[in-house]
Amino acid sequence: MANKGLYNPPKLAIRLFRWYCRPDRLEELEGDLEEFFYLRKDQGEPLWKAQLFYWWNVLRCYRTYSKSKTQNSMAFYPLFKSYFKLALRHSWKNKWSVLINVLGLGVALSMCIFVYSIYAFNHEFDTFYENVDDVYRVHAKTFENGAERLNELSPGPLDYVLRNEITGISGVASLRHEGGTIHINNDFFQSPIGVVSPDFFQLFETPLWYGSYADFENQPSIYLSRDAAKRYFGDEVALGEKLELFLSTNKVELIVAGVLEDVPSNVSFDFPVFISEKTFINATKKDKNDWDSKYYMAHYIKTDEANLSSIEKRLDEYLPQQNESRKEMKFTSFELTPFLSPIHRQSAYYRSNTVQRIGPEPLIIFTVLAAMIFLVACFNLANSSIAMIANRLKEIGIRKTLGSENHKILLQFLMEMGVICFFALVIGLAMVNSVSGFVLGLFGASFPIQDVHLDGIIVFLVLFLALTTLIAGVMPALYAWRFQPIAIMRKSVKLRGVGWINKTLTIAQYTFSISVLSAAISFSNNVQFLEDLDPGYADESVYVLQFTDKSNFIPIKQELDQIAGVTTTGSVNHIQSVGRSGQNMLLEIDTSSYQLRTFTVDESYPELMEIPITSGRTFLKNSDAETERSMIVTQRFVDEYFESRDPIGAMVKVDGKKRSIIGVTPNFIQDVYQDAEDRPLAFLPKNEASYRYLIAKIEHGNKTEIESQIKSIWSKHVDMPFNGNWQKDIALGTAAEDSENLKIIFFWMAVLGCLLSVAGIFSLSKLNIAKRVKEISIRKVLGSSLRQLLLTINKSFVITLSISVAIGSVFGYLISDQTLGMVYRYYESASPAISLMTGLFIGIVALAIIISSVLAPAKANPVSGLRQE
Amino acid sequence: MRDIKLGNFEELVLLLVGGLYDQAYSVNIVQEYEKQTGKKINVSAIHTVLYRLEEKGFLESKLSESTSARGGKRKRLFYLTPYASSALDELASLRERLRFKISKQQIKPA
Repeated sequence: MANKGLYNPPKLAIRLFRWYCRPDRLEELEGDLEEFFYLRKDQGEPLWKAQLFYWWNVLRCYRTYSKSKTQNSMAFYPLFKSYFKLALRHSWKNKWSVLINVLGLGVALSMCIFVYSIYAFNHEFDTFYENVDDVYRVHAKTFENGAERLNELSPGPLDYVLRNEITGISGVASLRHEGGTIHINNDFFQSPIGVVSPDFFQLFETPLWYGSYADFENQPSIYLSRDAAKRYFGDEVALGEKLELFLSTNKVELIVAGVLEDVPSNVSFDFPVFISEKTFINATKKDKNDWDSKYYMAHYIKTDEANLSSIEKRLDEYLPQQNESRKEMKFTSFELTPFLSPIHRQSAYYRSNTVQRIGPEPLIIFTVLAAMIFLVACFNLANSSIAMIANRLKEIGIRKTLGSENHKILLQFLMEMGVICFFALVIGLAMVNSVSGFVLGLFGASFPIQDVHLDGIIVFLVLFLALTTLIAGVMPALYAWRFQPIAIMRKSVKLRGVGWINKTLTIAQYTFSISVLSAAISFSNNVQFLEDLDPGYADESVYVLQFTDKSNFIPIKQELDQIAGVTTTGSVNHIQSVGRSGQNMLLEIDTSSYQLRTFTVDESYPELMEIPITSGRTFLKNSDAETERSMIVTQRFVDEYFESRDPIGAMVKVDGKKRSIIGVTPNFIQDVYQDAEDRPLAFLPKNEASYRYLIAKIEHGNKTEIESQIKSIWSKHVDMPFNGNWQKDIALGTAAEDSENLKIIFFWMAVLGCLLSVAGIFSLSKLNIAKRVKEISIRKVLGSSLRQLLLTINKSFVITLSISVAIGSVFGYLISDQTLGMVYRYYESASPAISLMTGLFIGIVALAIIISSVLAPAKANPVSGLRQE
Repeated sequence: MRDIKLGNFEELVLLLVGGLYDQAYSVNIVQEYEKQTGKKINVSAIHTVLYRLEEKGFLESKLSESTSARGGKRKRLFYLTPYASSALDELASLRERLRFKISKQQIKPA
């Protein structure tokens, strides 16, 4: 132990040990540890190793025999309790500012949890299914309108090929998406239906709540999700119950063979009802193995990664057969994509009937919003606490004089923040479910937060609470703890004023508030715009009936024609929201061919729907030659295929039949959303007795009365649920409603932002005044007028506010314009004037608040300000 | 037989303390333990047992004189109490009695 001075145990470890060890055993235990340290050194071990070992021993020795009892259990607990009590009392004393802070943080928190849940929704997508790492989706690639698309569908005959002719595949499952109506007792339920192969549930293991998969193939059976079983049968056991399923015109009787366990909504196959492929084929008489039957389904295969390219090659061999049978949609190749690899909702480039992950747009929008509101809320909390501390200097002074250590004062303030954050957490949790349900609904997705794994949420919340407390609490705590008690008591403490950090924060806050408020106004303008939007055809007073059984068309049409003021027409395809209806046909112009979306309609259809003809003419009535050979196209069609040539009279081939273009109509607004497709369209006349759609135009008369008349006529002829709507309700979908919802979101964010900003600037200006009471009094004594006082004291605020108004207005304009542009294709553009007005409005309100808070000390007797006691 | 509450490891430590008479403090006990059993042990385990045995009345202890060795820090030396000696004797004779009841045939060579 000769060179002991150079060779010492680590100091920090010794401090730690002395901190926790009970004093009466400290000497012997520390000696033991030290002796071990030197023993190791004497054995020739390197210094770092001996020191590491010392650390290890210090940590290991933290046991009952060494722990200091007084420190941990006796003295600490009441201290903590009193901190907590103090924190509650102070919060109660400042309840209004605390309430605003708690609300702000709560909303920010619920936004953050919500954003996390979107992220988790995507992150945990399809993790419900086990052992699917080597499962691949079979995608067919097509090339349409200049862009490559991925389609999650493959022709029916490939089913046999995949199962029997290609080697290296250890499992195949197929799924077809169908729509049907379920009939139980006297109730009808429309429902999406998953038509699956017998091995589907082996590949994608889905546990049954009750029932069994044994009879999946043998009898016409149906499997229900838990929700569906509850909807159809209430609380009774559904097993063995009979129900009827309508698949377009076919009716099939099914027995409930099982009810699935709850499946989270973030899975690909979120169907309420499953039936087997055999049942479906028996009912509809479709031939799966005929290339011409146009029977498509989604395929999933289990295979080794090494086999992928060879399987793709084998599949590509069937491309000519496929493309021969379906000329309007040619596949270019097949691609196998890992089942779990992320595919986002990008409807323009991905076509699938399964559920997809939530796209990046909502995630970006809401992450930005959540981050902004979170920071604003935190900084506001910090700002108002700093202002509060100015009023509590004496408390700090007295505590310090009584022997409180710096870190205990720090702890006290952190604790107060912790209390506020905890309340915020409670509010945030209470709000998150309604917030997420409401917000996600706008993007066509819905999922309750329960579907996300709980442990992730808990970790997130704990981290979040700690982070919030730190961000919001460290600044005021650091501000408070370094004051010298003597200085406080002598009143010679220099309060740090409104520094550049606070100014930047204020600017950020106001920028945010102005931005969201002007966004709210832009969205509210847009709601009106969408409601007044002219889709390019008659949408007022037009009523649409849709039939699954065409034989009902004629009797109902005859009865409707009897009603005064009603004219009717029919069609095979109807412009609802055009993007979602119509039939694809093969268009051939000269030597090139394209996919064309067509509407087969009665000759009177364009006239009744008030579709304007810009050049050429509309269909002639009762002319067989016309129905065989004419068509009306949209301007988009002309722009795409004819460029500058005159299309009238031009001959093209549609599905192999020669037709001449007789008229051109302007483009329709198919869908107001950004991802809607804007495709060339054509109307083909058809003179037929029965159509799938019956369109009634009500020229005059009471609309509600006529609607109820239509309903009673329907129920006389059809034993299916009523399927009729006003064209206006189905034309643009829920666009106006969605815009209204976005408006509400922005409006509430704006209210919250404004509240926070107002509270923030109020506390800042109070801090400013607390710091400058003497200055104000001296100025008054020296004869300064009220106006001059206001100007001098508030100068820096006015500058800060002006900058905020300028930046906020610009941002407000950009954000509303960008968001509208991101969501909609057709929208009323945001106006810079509105943003500027909003900015000025908020600026003036803030100014009024600052002035009002300066008024009191400015009007007071300067003597009291100078005495300050 | 009296009810002696003594664990296996505790008994071992008692034996070591007895063997190290007048030099029985934790560092020595750790080294002796490692030497006798060939197994590593952390000093905190020995500490725990020593203090517990003292509480149970098997050991008594005093602080040694201060030396320069451990930076002048005194060490705590442990001694067996008479109760401990009698308990060790009792346990040993019990073991021995039972051991010799086992017939030779029953013990198979390892």
